[in-house]
Amino acid sequence: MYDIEKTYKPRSISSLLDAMEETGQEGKIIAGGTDVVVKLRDGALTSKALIDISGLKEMQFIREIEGKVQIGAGTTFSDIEEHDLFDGRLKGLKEGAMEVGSPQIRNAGTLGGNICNASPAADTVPPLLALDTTVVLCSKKGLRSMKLEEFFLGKGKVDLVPGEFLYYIEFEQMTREQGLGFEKLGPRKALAISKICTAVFIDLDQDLMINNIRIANGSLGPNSLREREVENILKGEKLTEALKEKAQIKFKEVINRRLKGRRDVDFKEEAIRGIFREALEKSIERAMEKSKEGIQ
Amino acid sequence: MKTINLKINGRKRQIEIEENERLLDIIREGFHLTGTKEGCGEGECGACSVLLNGKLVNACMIMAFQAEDSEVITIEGLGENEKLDPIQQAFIDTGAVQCGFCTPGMVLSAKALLMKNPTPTKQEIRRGISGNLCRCTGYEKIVEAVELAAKRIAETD
Repeated sequence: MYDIEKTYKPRSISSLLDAMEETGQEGKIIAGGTDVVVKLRDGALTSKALIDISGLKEMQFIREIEGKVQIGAGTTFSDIEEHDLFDGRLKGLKEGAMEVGSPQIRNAGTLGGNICNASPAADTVPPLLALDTTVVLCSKKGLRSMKLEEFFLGKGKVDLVPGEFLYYIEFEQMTREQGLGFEKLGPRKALAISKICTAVFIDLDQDLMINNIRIANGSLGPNSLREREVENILKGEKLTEALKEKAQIKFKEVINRRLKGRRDVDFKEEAIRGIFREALEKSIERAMEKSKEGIQ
Repeated sequence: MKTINLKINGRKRQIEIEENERLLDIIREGFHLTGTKEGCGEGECGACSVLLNGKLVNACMIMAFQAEDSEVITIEGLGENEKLDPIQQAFIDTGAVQCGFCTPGMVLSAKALLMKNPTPTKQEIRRGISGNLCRCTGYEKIVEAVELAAKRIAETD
């Protein structure tokens, strides 16, 4: 049985920082509770103090500033699902958010929680990696930022120092000729932990030259990760059917090498070809969408 | 121990909670509102679904202290006196209730869906109740009930 001795419900970032300082190693931040409460109950988490940030408005925002999109760590999956910023080229992020759990979990669970839990199967993380997202961390010493990719230190581990929390994330707003695609394979529609999820960001010019491409996977390693070997096959090349097939074969090779010896390797190396292809096609479709007037 | 204030089913209440308690625990044991059920205790079944500040959540995954100053609606908060909520009535009329354990959560999921989307398609209904498990009905009757409720609500408006 877990044993919580103290609880905090800070109303501002400065009181959040105070609560974190006061509780030190015993303190655990809780937002939607969809992971923390379950972990407390099964003994995976033994914190003595909980600090609730679910009511902290300062951490709940989706905004565009100087060509960048910023999302507060306290933003829920439902907030992302309902925001029209993610209807067009950026739809891959919304598709990731919509795959999380169930309506109840999407209403409570947050983007920050999805990142900081560092689950290999987090549905919103591959799209964020494909967007080359930066995390902005906050402590009493001020703000610190780093690439999301570097923030992950292994399964369940992120690079947060004591007294520090994830404040918001940011990435470059999409421009014309760019698109984000996402696809997930899970055992059933709702509440399914993903077996594979893949996100593709593409920058494709009118002559179908791939100026840039970033591919990220979930559930195919200790954390979600970028697939640079596959990216390198595609980057700077002209998009053709033959190139797509070459990239699919490369992907299969990469997964085979990584998962060798695991019982699901045969399944996953085949499945990735299809999932990747779906995500790639969606990204291409979005990159080629005519820009709506007034919106990039 | 600590004391929190919250509004539950429209009434302002004050309650003493233990730091360890979940929202589900105080709803059932503190307020004796036992319509909210505990099934799996880990967010898979939706039997403990309630509306927290107007949003559908699993009360088993929220700590009681987090609900301070919030507004909670449980199944007991639907309908008035002898008059059931149109969703509840539609569940009865359609035969969407069998053992009844999932029903409070199902009804609240339907409520949350219809508040946001008064004219859902079958597929949208299925997505709306995708966080609630039912082991009796096979879901068909539940989907029909939500359709019927949507229709009746539209007719009375």
